Amino acid sequence: MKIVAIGGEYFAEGFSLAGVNESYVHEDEHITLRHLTEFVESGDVAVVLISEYVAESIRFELNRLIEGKELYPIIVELPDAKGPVKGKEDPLEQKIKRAVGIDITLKEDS
Amino acid sequence: MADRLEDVKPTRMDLLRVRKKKMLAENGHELLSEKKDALINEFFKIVDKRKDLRNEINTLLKDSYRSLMEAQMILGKEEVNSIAEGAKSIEEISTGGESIMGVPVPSFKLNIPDEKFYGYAETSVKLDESVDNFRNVLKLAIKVAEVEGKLSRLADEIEKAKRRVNALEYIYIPKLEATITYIERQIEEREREDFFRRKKIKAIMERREG
Repeated sequence: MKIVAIGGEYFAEGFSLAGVNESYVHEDEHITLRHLTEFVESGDVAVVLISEYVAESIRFELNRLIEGKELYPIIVELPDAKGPVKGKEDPLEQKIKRAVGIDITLKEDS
Repeated sequence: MADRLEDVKPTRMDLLRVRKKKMLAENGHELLSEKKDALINEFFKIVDKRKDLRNEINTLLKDSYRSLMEAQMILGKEEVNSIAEGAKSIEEISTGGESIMGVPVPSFKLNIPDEKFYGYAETSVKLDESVDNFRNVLKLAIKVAEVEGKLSRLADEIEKAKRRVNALEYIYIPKLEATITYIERQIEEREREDFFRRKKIKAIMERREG
């Protein structure tokens, strides 16, 4: 299976230096979404690394993709070269809250 | 009082049947809530792990971007770009079938190549640094993927288990209990009727004889 990365220039370049199988520079939402849909449907992608900024810009569609997927691919959001997105809601946190009924906050050490 | 089961006749046969059902449901309830607790236990362990991993990867990423920018400044954007294009990619990421309490969760095995794929002569040490950094980031990212994949699977599973436990506890078992009381009352009522009838008949017979 493959690992792919989608994000800003530095994001894509960094991960392709590290050796991900495919890396794409985010140009606009439509292209990125098309790529993501392809990854989910191909069944050959294990992990998608996506920049937080890109993920935020397509949050709604991304969530729908995640809801509908099988075990793989796993979509991991990572901060871009601009740093983490401020005030972003952690999608997993909501799931955690729903599952166990309490709030666990992820403290960032800065 | 809760609703009772449909198509149950107030007979002893059915009483036994419903009692057996109730016992089964109670056993199931116990097992399921144990499973739920175990899942939640496991879940919290992974939540902690995720927190640590996320913090680690965020700091490492910051360094990595800095070293990549520095490499670009020294070598030029184009050069780094073309090196990145020629980068050796990981062979295959293999996925193992791990499971927690019978829940299939993702797990990965990954070999990141550590040899250099560009000439030393025309590149800078900054590039080496950023390649190393990003390789480490990638390793961590895979771990994060594993952990987050596990979390989201477990969360789904916990929700499902919770729903089942609640359905048993608040709907199914009360229904069975209501059915049992209903049947017991019906049987008692019939016995009283019988008893009364016998008394009456006895009285009539005595009167005739006397």
